[in-house]
Amino acid sequence: MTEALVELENIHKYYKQRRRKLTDKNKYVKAVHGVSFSVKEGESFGLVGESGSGKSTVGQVILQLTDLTQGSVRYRGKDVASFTKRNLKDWRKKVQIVFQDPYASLNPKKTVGWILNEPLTIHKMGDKYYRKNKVLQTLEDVGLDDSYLNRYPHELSGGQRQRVAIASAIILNPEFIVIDEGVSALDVSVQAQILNLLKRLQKKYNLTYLFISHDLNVVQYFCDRIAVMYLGEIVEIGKTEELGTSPRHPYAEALFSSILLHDEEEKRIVLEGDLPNPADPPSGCPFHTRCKYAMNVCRVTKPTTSFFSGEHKVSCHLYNEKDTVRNIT
Amino acid sequence: MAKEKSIPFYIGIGIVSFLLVVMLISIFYTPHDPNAMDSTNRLAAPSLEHPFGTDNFGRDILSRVMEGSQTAFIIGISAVSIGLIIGFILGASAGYFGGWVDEIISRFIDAMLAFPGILLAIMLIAVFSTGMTNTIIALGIMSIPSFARITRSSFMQYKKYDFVKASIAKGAGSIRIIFHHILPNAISPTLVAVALSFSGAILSESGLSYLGLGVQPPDPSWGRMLKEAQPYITSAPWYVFITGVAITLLVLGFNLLADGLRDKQDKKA
Repeated sequence: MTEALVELENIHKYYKQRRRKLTDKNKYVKAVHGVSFSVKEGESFGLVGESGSGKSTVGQVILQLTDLTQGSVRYRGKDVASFTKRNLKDWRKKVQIVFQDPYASLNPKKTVGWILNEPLTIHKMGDKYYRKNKVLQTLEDVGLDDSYLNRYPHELSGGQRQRVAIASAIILNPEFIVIDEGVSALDVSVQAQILNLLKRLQKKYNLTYLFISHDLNVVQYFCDRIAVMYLGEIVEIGKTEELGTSPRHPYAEALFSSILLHDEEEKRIVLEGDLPNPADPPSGCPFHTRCKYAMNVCRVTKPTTSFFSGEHKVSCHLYNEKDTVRNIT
Repeated sequence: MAKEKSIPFYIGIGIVSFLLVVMLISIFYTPHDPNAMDSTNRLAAPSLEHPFGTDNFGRDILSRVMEGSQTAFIIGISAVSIGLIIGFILGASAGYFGGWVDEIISRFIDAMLAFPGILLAIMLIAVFSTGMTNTIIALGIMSIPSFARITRSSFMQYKKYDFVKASIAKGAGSIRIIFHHILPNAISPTLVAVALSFSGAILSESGLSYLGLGVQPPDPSWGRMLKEAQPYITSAPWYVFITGVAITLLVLGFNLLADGLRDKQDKKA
């Protein structure tokens, strides 16, 4: 539980923006801007943030589905970028992804059986009988039976599709799975089933999850640690209990206040304005345009990281000085 | 999923298969020798002996129309195959690899599109001389851009899909992605283009033959028959009529087929 399985160090991912005019300078969308964190073996790590905050890009960066602008991804201490083609293919067995939209994540022209067989075929694992057994066993793991083998994705419901997507991710016996908004597109009742399924699989196969979501309820229920992203940066990171009960960063505070509806004393903080354009992020602290505690220093300099008990880290000027402006309760 | 009935699709299928059957029969049997002249019986009106009458050399028009369907199908199939294969390779590389590969191929396609198709064909034929093979090559080259563009756009579209990314994450290589994941999904839009190009190729061939640049005698071609019939439009109107109807039917059949295929696709999407 202590060893770091995946470590991200100072990840940057910029997307080039199309030039409008020939004379325009190249503009970049800073999707991810200096993100570092590590996921420990066996835990569920939650990455939350509103849409456009770069959380999905982080997931794709880890899986090498998109190239990095800067920074490094380490898997069990080894830099993934330094892998040879063959090592990369072997490593791909250990790291998998489940996408948000179960309608787009399964090839509509292939049967469930084919989809589940594919990973085994790619890695030339076992013979025909081994593969067939493995497929059946994995289907059973996700709560489906062999009657699904010859069905096409369009014959399945959203929840069933997501089960198939999960099955195709776990069939290679991975160690680490990125769940990119894995339950967001599903009904609430189905969400709960899928979450429980994921937990069960985690126990059975000792999986490590990176759970990317905008749904705080789900993340709080599911994850051991949470990182809050805003505009391509992590603003706060910590254990679920700490973050959930006492978020420090004004943005995290606003986010978590939105789900504490039962508690009458807690007031819901409503953020004004929209997420700034990631192609033209604000100077200083990225959040200062919407922060109700914004000070002069926030507009000019980027906050450094302050540490709280244990692993609770916050990037905010409020906590940079010894004598804080605001009383921390 | 419920099977949607599309009326144009079935009419198209009906017309095309009817002409296909006629073409197949003509390989083994025509009522008369299509090239046998009978100077005593020129421009005869339709009769039991010659259901569609005879032409200016006394040849049986029914037999010639039947024989001409072979030319039409050969040209359609070969020209579309050439265009499809080259266009597919170009479009698939452009769409899959993107970047500068896409830039070069797309500009090349744009340049081809800038030429009026028929002018391009006439130019090619002027350089390489007339004849069936050259007509096919010219028409094939003419249809490259449309196939390339369709393939490119569907490759670009499906490349971004999550199932493609998921497959890459499982270690799939480019070849597997192209042939197992993108190709099966790109087929239905391509089928529409195939049907449309088929009728386009037949129409262009008729146009070229009408100008005397296409298929040369003695191979019968509907376009050239139309040209030969033109002087007799008042004295033997059936000659023009029958030939025109044959061309129209085939083109209409393939267009309806394309429409029907597109409808089916839209309903699925």
